[in-house]
Amino acid sequence: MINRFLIGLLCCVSCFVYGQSDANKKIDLANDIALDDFPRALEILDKVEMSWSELSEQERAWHGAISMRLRLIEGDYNQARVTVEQVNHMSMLPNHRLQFYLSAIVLNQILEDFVRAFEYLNYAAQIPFDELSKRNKVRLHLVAAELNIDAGTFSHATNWVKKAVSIAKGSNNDRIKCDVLYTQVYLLAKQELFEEARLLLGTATKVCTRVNDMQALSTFKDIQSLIYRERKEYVKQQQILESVLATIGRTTDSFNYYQTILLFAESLVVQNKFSQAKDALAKLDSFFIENELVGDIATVFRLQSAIEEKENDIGQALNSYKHYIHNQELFDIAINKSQLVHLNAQFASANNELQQTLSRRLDERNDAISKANTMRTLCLVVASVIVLISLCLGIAFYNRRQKVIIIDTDKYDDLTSLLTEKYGQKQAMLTIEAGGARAPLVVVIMLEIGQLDMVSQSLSVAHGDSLLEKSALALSRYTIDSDVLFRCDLTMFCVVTQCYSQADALNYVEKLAHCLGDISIKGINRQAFNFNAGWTSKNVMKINTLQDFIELQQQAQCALEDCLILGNGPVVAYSK
Amino acid sequence: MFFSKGCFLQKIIYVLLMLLGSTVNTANVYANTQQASGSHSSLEWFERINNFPKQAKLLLNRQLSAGSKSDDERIRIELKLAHISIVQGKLSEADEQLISVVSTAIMPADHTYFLYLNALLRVNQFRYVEAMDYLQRLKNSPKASVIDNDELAYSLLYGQIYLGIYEQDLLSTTLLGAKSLVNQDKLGFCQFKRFEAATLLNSDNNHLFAEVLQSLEHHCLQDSNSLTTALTQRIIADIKSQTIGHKDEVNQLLSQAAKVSFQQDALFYYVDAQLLLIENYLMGQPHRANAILDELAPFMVTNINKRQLSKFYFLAAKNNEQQGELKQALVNYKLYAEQQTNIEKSRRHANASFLEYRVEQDKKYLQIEIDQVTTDIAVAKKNYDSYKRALMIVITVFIVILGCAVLSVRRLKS
Repeated sequence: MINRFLIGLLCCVSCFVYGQSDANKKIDLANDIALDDFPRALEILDKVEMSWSELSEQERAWHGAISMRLRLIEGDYNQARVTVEQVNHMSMLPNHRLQFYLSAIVLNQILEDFVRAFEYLNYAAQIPFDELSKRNKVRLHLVAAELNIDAGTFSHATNWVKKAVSIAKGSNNDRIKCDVLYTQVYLLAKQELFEEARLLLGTATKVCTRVNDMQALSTFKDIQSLIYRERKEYVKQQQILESVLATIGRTTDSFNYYQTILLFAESLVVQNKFSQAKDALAKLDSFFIENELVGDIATVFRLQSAIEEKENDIGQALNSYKHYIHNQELFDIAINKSQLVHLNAQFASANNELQQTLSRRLDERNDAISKANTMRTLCLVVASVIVLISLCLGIAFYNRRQKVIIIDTDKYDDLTSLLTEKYGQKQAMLTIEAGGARAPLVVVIMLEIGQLDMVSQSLSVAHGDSLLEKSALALSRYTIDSDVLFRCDLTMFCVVTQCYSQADALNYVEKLAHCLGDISIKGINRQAFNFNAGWTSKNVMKINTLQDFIELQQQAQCALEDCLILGNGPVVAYSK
Repeated sequence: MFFSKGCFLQKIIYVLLMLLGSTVNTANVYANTQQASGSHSSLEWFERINNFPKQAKLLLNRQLSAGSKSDDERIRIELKLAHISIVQGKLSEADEQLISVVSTAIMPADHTYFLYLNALLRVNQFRYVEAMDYLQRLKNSPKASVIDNDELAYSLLYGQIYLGIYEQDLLSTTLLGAKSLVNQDKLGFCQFKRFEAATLLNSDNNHLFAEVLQSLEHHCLQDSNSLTTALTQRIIADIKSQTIGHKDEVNQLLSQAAKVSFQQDALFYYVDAQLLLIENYLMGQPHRANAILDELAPFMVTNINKRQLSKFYFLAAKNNEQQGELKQALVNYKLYAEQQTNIEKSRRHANASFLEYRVEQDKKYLQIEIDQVTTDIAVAKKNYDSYKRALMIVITVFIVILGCAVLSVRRLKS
């Protein structure tokens, strides 16, 4: 298998020509003629290497890949392995890379380093698929299938082949068709499904003949011989093997040559053609022993034993058969060990794409979770800050509200709900200022409830308070919105209004006194109290400040005092 | 000699697996499932099946023919009979018995037992992929049928699979896991020790045999006529032939094991012990080897494992050779080689199939994990959006409240 694949790769010419530069063209040429003119290819590469410093990274990598290929053709696997490690494969063009990986896979298969082989298959699988030529896409799948066939994982191999068939579908390229058919036939033969393989062999042979793939044709003949063997048509088997031997040269493909001789010898033994079989076995020289191919050595012993048995040399036949068993066991151990390594390598590289996806998704998840957490933290912090700010504002507002309430409490009198003197004065000033020329005279009336102390002392404080409240209410009802009414001292009220003339002012005061005169309180004799009023007026233009107003109020106060001295009626008003 | 030591070890693995697999492992699951189904005689049945399968079978057959049974009872008896067949190494018979049980009609508690028997059978048939499938299904079986050492039994089945396909890393992990599951139960202990011995025989760690050997000799050889004791004797014989090399002692152990196995109708173990005896007798006592070969010849037709058959041909060929019957020796060697070719082909096929199974399983797990992570990502993104929205709302509300507050303060001031 490896040999066929190697030759297949080596025959693969002119399908990777991408080189633009002179150096690239030269390397491509070396690649093309590698199989036909190996020394010249080597010479070209040496020439390119002389101008190493002028080469780009991509050119150097491509040069390394072709050097490795030449080592592979030469059979210098150790040097090829060293070269493989030196090539900076990531800098190559996609199709160059694929060719390099496929060569590296072949090399590692030869060296039985399946781990590395699968590693390179993974690299190959990572090349952007669309950037590959159709043939390279197919080759990639077929190489994966062939690695699986060698590991014995046939269902995986079948899947890869199916994918390759689907890619190659509709293609008119015989090279691609031959590659696919070859792998299909090889897979079936490996599974010993000879009848199914036979159905494909005709088409496969035709297609591969058109592209002159000698190696594939030779393998087809080998498989055909196995089909004949399976059907016990040994004469036909012999004939076909003879034709294979006639075409394969001992020097060009020793491995296949000796394998075919072995099959040929077996066919002869079955047909009891012992002398010919002996001759065939004699041709094997010591090729299998030199190459430590214990499986083939075992077959040689088995055939020898069969010949010896037929010749009635039972002792020797038994001896040969025991050698066969011994070598077969060594082969089984080796093949089992190799299979396990192969399987483990396959398992290690299987689902690589999914693992990478998972790894990416895990990163994404961590990122998303981290973002969500950050956002949650931010949300919490902001909410906390807002709550704190709200709390501070709330506290501040509450404090302010409290102050306002305290201020308000100072502004109004608890008992009568009238403005206190201080705020009443201010309100009066504001009203005067706002009122402007509503009326030319500002009239300030000071009213005092006479005998209030007596009422409180003789009846009760509640009676006194009731009297104050009733008086305040009566004054409130009488005054209009533009008037200002406030309480002064304990027993006095002050009314501020604006009038057009002294006569109006007097009229206003009289009406006010009259409205107070109507007050009656249950439990209090109307004779027990009286009201005194003192009033004064001033031109509105002359009251500019609060002090002006206070002076005016003091004048009204003086009038009231005069009234208290002079007056004696239930409601007495006095002007000054 | 024609056989290297490594090759010999590979060959004996299958015997070790058979020795390990069938009898003791089944014990706990059987006991557990019986307990789960409410039977009080589960332990008794377990001992009967594993120690005295022949008597257990007679008893069950009598029960079956005694009178009318409900479907559940009949199925339970059929499962026990299949279990006995596995214990006796009659795998094809067990296969037929399990196929005849209509699994859909089984009670959940018995269904666990049914799955376990299938897994056990597949392990003994070296059909590891199918065995893994059954073990996977057992993982999802109802908890009601699982107690204490069920986990140990499953674990040892996994171990046997990994031993069979040379998965050393998985085997070591499983062995460690199984060790942690061993409790005071003597049967579980002996079962584990036999498995440990088998792994040591496979890995060639001779220096570690002493402890296992001591444990097996001191704790697992009490009932001299039981099949489990015969299995222990068989594995002790393996250890001793590999370490100490007292042939007479080894042969005595093998003779005892063969005798008890025959008495219990466990032909697989009988043939196995006899083949080992022949191998030993061929070096020094050929007449004995010849006698046992003649004794074994009738058993080679039925109920025989192809690996045992291969070994029989090989030993017969050697015997023929020693007797000077060269022609017959050649015939037997050819039969041996033919069997070996099939065995090796099957081995490679099993290895490849198991790898494919593992790759597919791995793919499935990875896919599930990816789906889970994708869901997590979607949830995280959704959370992110929700938090973002919440943040925006909080900020907006705050701004509105702040605006209202400012306005009201201003109004208050005015």
